[in-house]
Amino acid sequence: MRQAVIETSNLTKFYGQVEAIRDVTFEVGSSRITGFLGRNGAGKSTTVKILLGMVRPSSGTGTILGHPVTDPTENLLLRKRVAYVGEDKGLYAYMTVGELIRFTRSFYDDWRPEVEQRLLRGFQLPTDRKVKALSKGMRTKLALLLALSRRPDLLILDEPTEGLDPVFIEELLQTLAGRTAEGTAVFFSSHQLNEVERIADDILLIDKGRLLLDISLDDMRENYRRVTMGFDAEPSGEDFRLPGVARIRAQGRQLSVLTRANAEALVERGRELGAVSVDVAPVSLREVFLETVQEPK
Amino acid sequence: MTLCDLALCHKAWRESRVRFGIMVVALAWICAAIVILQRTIGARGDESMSYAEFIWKAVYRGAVRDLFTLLVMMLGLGGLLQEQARGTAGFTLALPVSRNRLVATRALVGFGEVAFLSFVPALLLPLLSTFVGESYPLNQAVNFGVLWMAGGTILFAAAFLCSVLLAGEHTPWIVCTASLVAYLVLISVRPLSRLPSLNFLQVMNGSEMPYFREADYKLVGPTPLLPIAVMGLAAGCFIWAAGVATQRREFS
Repeated sequence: MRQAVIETSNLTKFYGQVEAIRDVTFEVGSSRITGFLGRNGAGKSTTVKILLGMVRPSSGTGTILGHPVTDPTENLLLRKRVAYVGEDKGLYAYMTVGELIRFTRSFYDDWRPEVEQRLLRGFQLPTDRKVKALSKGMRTKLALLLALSRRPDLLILDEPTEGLDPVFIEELLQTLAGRTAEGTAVFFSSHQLNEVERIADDILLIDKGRLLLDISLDDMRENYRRVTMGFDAEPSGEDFRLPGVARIRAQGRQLSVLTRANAEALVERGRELGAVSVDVAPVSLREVFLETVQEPK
Repeated sequence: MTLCDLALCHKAWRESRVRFGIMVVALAWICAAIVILQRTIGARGDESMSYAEFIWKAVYRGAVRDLFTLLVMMLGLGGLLQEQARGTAGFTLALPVSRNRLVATRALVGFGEVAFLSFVPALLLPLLSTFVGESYPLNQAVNFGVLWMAGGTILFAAAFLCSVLLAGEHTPWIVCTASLVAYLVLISVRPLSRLPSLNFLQVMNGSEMPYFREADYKLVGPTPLLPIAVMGLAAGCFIWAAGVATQRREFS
């Protein structure tokens, strides 16, 4: 049984009357990369901020590395073992790159100077330049350097590739993949589905504050299928509501069904109902994401 | 004090040092202007006024004290709410330090800056007086500096608390200034007006206090430890309240 580094149970958060997340329950396994997906305002950042103790949940519980996130003392202990890069990459504008590195490393026992030096060279960050003079991409690189120069048990990254060029994104993805070999779990949110699909082991998908999907990518590749069927007459989608079916779209005499399992049963049902063409294809993460979060037209 | 505390103090210093530098210069400039110009522009007015009286009225009870009051309240501004507006609160809150420690280190640095500001007149007045052929006793200047430091800590701590409770760049300072004015109006009304020690601005300049001799405008006797301790305690309560408020606040 895999060990969980993050566990949440029915996390719910209201800002006044506005519901940010509701009953969010999931586990993140150790030494795994988990992609946390969702549209803007879906509840990703609220979830992350609850985990780091910046926001209190209205109800529900959560632990990171066994530490309850809502207990300030425990949360302090967990922050020693977690590296975090926030969505806005807000860093102290008045410090130079070198000063900010020295400032940050004074808080952590797991700081690795040799990694810091390697990343400084690799990221081409000028140590004497003020943070406020850095471009958005450079600020993101600096925020990543501050997180990656450590050896935490868990890396939480909120949109880590925002503002970065493709070459650097590639290097970063490889670095993140390498971190799991060192025993670090990675929990990251991103809008770039192809990046997530390339390195993630597990996917969490949140929309309108609800966790809609919690699956490993291997499971998705193995079991998720799109079954497209053509008929002589306009078919009824209701005939295909079988166990595992996630979404049915009918367009004229064409029917497209996204299913989590049971593709064979769907094919059989299609043939029974006179399908003239049947096509079964694996699906990408992008398709699953869009089918899950898009409202049916 | 740990390495983390030193780093946090350094951060607090970096965040306030420009403001603090401007304040030191402003306070020094106005002290110098008062001393140097007192004869050339007839600022002293009444020729019978002694130099000590002039300094007391212009510096310790006058424009310099009012400026000091406004400046130390500005020093109290900052903190996590302002960081949130600048987008750095997430980084700070992710550091493995408690919120109380963030509050305590910022308060510590602020108190140090208030202490320095309090003694700017004490450093300058005796020195500049000699340039204009006058003399002002160093011990008097230092004693007033101690009283200013005590009063300054209350004002700083009140602004500090406002900056923890209220968001916005200028709102905490405006609210703190308005609260100060309201407080001064309140204690000027009977029966509170019979208790001059409630007015910490009077405690700072000695007016109507047993440790101040109005005949020659000088502080007399030992350093008044009780009012200083009371002001320190009040400042401590404000900082404690700021810590509690910071602990409870959410940073979404």
